[in-house]
Amino acid sequence: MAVGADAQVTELEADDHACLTFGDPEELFDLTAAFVRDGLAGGLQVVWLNEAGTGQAVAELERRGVAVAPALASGQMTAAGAEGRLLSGQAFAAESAVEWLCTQMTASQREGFPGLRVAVDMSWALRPVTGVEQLPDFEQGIAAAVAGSAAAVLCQYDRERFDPVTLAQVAPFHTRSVATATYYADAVLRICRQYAPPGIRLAGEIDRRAAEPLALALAEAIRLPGDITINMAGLAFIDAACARIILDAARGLGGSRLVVLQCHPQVAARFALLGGGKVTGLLVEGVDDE
Amino acid sequence: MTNEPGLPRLPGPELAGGWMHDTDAGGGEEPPVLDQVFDTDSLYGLRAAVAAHAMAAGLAEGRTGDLVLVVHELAANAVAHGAGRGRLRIWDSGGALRCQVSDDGPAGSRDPARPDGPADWDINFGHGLWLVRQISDQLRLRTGPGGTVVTVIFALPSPGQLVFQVSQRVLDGYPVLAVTGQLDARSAGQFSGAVLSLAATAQVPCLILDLSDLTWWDSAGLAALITAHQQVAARPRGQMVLAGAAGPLIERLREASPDDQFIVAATPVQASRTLGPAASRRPKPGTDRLAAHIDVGAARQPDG
Repeated sequence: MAVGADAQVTELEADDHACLTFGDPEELFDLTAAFVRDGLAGGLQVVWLNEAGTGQAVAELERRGVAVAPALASGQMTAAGAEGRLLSGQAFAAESAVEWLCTQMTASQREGFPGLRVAVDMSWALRPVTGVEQLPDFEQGIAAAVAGSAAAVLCQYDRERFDPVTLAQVAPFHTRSVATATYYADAVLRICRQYAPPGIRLAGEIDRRAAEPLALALAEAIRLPGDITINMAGLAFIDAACARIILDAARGLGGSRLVVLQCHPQVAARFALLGGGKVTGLLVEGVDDE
Repeated sequence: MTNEPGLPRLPGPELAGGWMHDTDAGGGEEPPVLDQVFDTDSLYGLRAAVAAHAMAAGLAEGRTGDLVLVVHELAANAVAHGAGRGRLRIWDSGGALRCQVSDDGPAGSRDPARPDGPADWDINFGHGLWLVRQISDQLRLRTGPGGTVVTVIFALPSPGQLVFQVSQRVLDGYPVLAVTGQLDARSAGQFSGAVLSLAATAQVPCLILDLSDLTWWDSAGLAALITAHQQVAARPRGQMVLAGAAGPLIERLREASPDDQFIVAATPVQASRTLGPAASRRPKPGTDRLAAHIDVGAARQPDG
């Protein structure tokens, strides 16, 4: 399925009503972490309605370098489930859900925040919830509430589980579409951008046939300022050619910023043998084997 | 403990006489446990098949990963320099896996104007074939216009090898880290941790590694030794000495990291003599000591 996206998650601003489609949990947590991080950094209030449970949600954010504990304590950040906010006893009514959002927006202004960011994982709509056919009405209500306001709403849809008809129905109510920039995706390998922390993510198995998309992904990640993380936690195999492409990219930076390799011990050993220990600014962060 | 020339590891199993001789045809001996042709699209499946056979033969995860990488690099080369396909055969005999990757040479290889053969199979530092040689126990390559045959040997571990253990003591003022058993993907982390914590607490920036009871290593073990050497050498007047290491391991380290000067000694006592009096290695108060602490971190990350 073609993935459409006209904006990077890092480009979202106030009064954006963005539709995020994700292919796996890693993508969801990565994009949300960036959305939350940038919101908190801007002094905004942030609300994330998610399916993971507060504990796991917080852990996923912290794992990606977003320290949310102080914000949770002060009330700048809330991470909670849809129940009691969008849903009432597994029943959904678009009007009540929009009312909840408007209440959040008003409260946020009253408390003196310059703006509000709300991320909503719509996976509740995949459950047998009564009133779920009102989903498009809900999206229409969000669009009306957010337009011209200091709030940004990020609606999160699992494109592997939502049917194309539903996605097509809700799409028009959004002002932006967001997805992880993907350079290569097939059954064996995925190369995509990572936003929190910024860099690229490789999953599956990679060899020299993916050299071009790998080089492109690296080049685009390097164009942004700051340290670069190469997340290989989900990578089971990398050959010498691809390891060298990564090492050459790191060498090219000459130590001006850090290049962090997150990988399993065996992959780390490969980089060490290929001379990684002599590359200034290269840092290897071991990932535990599951 | 003896180290027979040609035997990669010790105390290793007695490898059967057959593997020392070139048996490209493989005729007259037991059949291969795996015989598979491949092309550019079937490398993924080839790796999976190799992994399965390696683990069935008794290789642990780390060494299996090494074999998968080696076969992949050879197969990818065969596909690139052959006519887009090749053949893999693996024999399990005499306490080792013998893996042979062959191809028929480039399409239209009769063309004398086309430079083929040995040049395509050069072992260049940092490239695939170079890595194959660092990681394999033995490598033999024959190439020509008619094709190439590359054979690698991976010794199989004998049962009852010593369990991994790393222990510390002090000798003549120098920290000695003794490694027992196998230094591989599973134990390399513990070893690296021990090296780092010694570096942070030791009085002198030197380290004696006692490897006389090291029985087994894989690429993760090799990398851990190289990294340890680089970390110690990065400190002012830092020096690591490898005591009691097997000849093939030293050779492998020197080839894998030619820019690093590996100092060796037969025993920890001789290592201590090589280093000289520990007092002369102590950091100067107020200057070196601070630098030493920062340097330990520098190998990992700049202080934030």
